[in-house]
Amino acid sequence: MMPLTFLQPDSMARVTAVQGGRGATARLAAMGIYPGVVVTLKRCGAGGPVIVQAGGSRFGIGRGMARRIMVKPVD
Amino acid sequence: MSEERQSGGKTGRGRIRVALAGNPNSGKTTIFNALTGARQHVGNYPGVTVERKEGRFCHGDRTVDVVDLPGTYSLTAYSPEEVVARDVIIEESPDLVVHVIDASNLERNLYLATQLAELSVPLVLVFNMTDVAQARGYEIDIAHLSELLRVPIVQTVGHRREGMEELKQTILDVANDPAGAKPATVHYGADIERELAKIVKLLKSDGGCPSVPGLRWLATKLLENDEVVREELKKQLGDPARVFSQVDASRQHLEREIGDDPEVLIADHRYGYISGACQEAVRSTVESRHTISDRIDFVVTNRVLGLPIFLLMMYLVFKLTFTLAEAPMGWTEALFAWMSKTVAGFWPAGSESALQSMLVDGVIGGVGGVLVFLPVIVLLFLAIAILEDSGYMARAAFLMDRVMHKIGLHGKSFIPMLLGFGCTVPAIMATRTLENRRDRLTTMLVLPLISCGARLPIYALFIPAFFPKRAQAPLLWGIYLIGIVLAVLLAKLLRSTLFRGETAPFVMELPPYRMPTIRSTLTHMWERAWLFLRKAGTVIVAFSVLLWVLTSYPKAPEENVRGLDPQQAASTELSYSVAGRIGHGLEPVMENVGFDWKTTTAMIGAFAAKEIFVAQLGIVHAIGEVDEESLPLREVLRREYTPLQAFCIMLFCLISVPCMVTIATTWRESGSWKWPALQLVGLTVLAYVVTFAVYQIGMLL
Repeated sequence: MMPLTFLQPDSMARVTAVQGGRGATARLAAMGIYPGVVVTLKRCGAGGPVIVQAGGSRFGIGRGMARRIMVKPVD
Repeated sequence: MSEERQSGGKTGRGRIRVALAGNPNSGKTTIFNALTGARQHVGNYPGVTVERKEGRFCHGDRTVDVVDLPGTYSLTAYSPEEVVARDVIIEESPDLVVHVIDASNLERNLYLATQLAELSVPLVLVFNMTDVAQARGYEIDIAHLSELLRVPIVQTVGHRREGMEELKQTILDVANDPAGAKPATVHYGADIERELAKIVKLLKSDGGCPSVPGLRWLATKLLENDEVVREELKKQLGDPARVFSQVDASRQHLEREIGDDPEVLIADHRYGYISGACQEAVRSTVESRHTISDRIDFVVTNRVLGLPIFLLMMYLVFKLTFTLAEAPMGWTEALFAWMSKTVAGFWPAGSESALQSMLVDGVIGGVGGVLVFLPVIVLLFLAIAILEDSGYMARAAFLMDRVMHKIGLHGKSFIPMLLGFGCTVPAIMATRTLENRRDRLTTMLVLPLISCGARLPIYALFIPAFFPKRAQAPLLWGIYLIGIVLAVLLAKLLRSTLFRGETAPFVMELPPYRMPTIRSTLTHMWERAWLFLRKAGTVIVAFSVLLWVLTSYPKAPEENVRGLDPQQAASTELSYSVAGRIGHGLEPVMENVGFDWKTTTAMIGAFAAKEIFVAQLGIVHAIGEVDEESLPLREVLRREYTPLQAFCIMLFCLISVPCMVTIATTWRESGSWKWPALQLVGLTVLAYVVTFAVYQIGMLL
């Protein structure tokens, strides 16, 4: 298990936990990022927000938030 | 507010009321436009600046009223949009809800459906963009899915208007026989259901609950720790403490037993239910990995290329807005000048009356002052609509989030800031895209510090009059820079005092790129422009008349102006008016920042619009009609003021609130007089303090 930001770009991982704090977790869930979902990290520079693909949608997620999304890489 | 809005559910016999729900980017607006055509009505929900759109269509012998709910991902209390969406369903109890779903993104979109189902209102699902879904290789067994979810499903392709007739017919069918559209609700598993039952029992015995939308929904919201529902129930319940202690006990129990927040558990069950249904009814044939959107994103969000592309786009927005607006602004000005002249001509020479002056200078001048902004606003909204509809706006916010985060603002704050260099008014309106109220108010309050186009004539008058050629460009640049630095500092200050708390985490959908359709772009543009005209306009006209009174009354006694030439007479009149008296009265205070009574008086008149400052200076100095190129005015200014004073005047103009239109717009957009008042007082004080420091230190040197 590791933070989303540790993934290699263009690699896929399953979300295991979202340690988002009140509101943010539910918000992410409503947008389709919740434990069990497979996401693809599309872009992750040295700083600033990352781009994540989940289902058919793509999201920009602030780095602070992205660090709190725990994932497990899948092949 | 809308006159069509009714307190109850049904409006008259035979009318059907439909609420249109859906995720952002699901094509909801396209469906709304296709359903209702041009018969639309745009307003705002009271207290919040969430747009309320209503329309109507006829089908068979029935009339159907449609209210377009704001686009939301769920029905929590996360944003004003979500609260508004659920309030409409609960309070206005429409006959049915039509939920527009992006069929190519089914599971995520159905999440909202599970929550709509809990509001126990008849539901119709619209699977929109079925062409995209097919292209992505999804095969959806509509009949089977409809059976599983127990709601009618209509397939559409919104932009080609496919499926609209079927949708209209389905709406009528469900309105006639709602029993066929009672959606299945999610079963949350033994643990949660047991706690829900306990809460429902207490709510029932308390008896103080509203009958809609049902106790189960209220119990679920309480378990999810929804603050809005909790506050509401606190007022309505006979014994709220008893209910809330059960809620807290249930939440703790669930956390202990299952080890997760109840809201997360509830979301899990909703998704479990959805994915179960989708596994049975949806087949995915191909896995398409690199779409066109992918390739565009690769370029525009690139670390190296992203920023230059973004700056180029913004430059184009600017160019488009302010270049194209120039001509229509000129026409508007000419039109109103002609109207003033015509109306003034109704009075024979020599018989000018107060009524004439009020009509010409107050009303026509005021209305003209509003309408002259319209071309910029329309074009700006056109540009924004294109950027939004194409999907680029989300990427721009994404790119800027890193920088904006550092000063305690949100990535989306950048766009209003940039627009502020053109005109503060549309910039304040553009803060609508910010979800978090703290972020939005901070941005709104500091926006006037971004030097707008109307202040340029002031700099253009003073800088060449007082400073040598080589210092002119750096000085102008410096003034803009001072504004930016102050805006950043003030934003930081506001975020750490008044609007303390974390910046909303940046989570934003980056929708697939689409070609904006002309129809939807123009509709977007027009709706917003009309709202500006109607709401801000009325306030502005009232203010214009007030300012006219201040600068015209009381009239100077006859003997004071007798024998003076018209220019000196105008100067004497202004000096004698309320504005002139305030200018004189404030002289002891304003002296400290380098102002004499003439500058102060001109400043008061310029509250109508900053560019008027130059004209007002001309009047108080008895030079008559002038513009910023005026050599005689520059002569007089050079005689009366020092370069330090000139700099201080520019500084004060930069920092103090630009104009009443800004104040009126802040009032409109923030929904209260508190914020424009703070903006006005705060910025004036800031202007005084900064200019005071500069003037006093400058005097010592």
